[in-house]
Amino acid sequence: MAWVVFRHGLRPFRVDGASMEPTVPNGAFGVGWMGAYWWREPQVGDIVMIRLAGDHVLFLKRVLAQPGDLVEFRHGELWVNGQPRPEPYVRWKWDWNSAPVRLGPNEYLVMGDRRDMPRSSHTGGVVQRDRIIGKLLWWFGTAHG
Amino acid sequence: MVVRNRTWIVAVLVGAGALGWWLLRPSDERYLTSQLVQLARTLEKSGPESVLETAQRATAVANAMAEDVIVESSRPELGTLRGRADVRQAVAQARASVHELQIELFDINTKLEPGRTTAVQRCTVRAVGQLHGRSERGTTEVEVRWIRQSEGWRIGHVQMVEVVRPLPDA
Repeated sequence: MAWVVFRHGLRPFRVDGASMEPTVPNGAFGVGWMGAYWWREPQVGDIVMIRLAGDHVLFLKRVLAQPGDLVEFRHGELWVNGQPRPEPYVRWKWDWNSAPVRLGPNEYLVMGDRRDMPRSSHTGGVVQRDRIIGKLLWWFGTAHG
Repeated sequence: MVVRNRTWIVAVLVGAGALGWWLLRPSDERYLTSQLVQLARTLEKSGPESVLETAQRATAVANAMAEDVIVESSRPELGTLRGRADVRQAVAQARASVHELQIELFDINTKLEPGRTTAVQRCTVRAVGQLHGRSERGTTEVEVRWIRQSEGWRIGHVQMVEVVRPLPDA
């Protein structure tokens, strides 16, 4: 029972990395809900868990755009479908610029909230739907300065 | 009665032994997993090392590869390595510029392909290093293709899997 709950339901984890700061601090403890997308699709603004080769190490990123959206960065600002999209959760920005890209039918744009570095140094971009396996439900931690 | 008890004990021991052997038996999958872990240990660096040690470790890594190995990164700027000599040189150069390097492997999944002369491994690699006085870290998914050759299993292809595809430059 416990195995089912913690493997396919609520997943405790520790954040190792600063890419979601200041929202989710490095070293924070959190709980992911692995059933979040069994019956619904990821929504813009969700902080999602993205699997790699397995599910022992996951990326934690925010969904910025959904399938079919036209996305680009202009001087650090996110533009979706030709309109700037406010991102109140981003405190630190770099002058990111990218070419416009139309997301495919199973593609989502995901990024971390911390953007005070060149885009090439930030793990973020287009991810396939089947890589998104859960949603951040709750976390506890304090930002390190 | 005593004889019967002993028979049961022997049967249980034989069964436990068979089960233990079945669980721990040597297999190609286990061997390849251990080889990958060993390769990661060889790539790690805990501090300053001599030129000789750098060369030895670079050679050990290259020797785990097939002669015509291809190592591809998901980032074009990192380029592609072709052949053992390329790998040996790249490892030696990387070790010379990195002060420390720790590598962790997660979710190693090894699958032998039909014929059992090739195998594909997927795993998550997390590397933490000290580069020019700064701490650098990276996490990626890697696919490793093994080939059974006359001298044993060798790596024929390494590909970093692009889990998140960066947006193109403006």
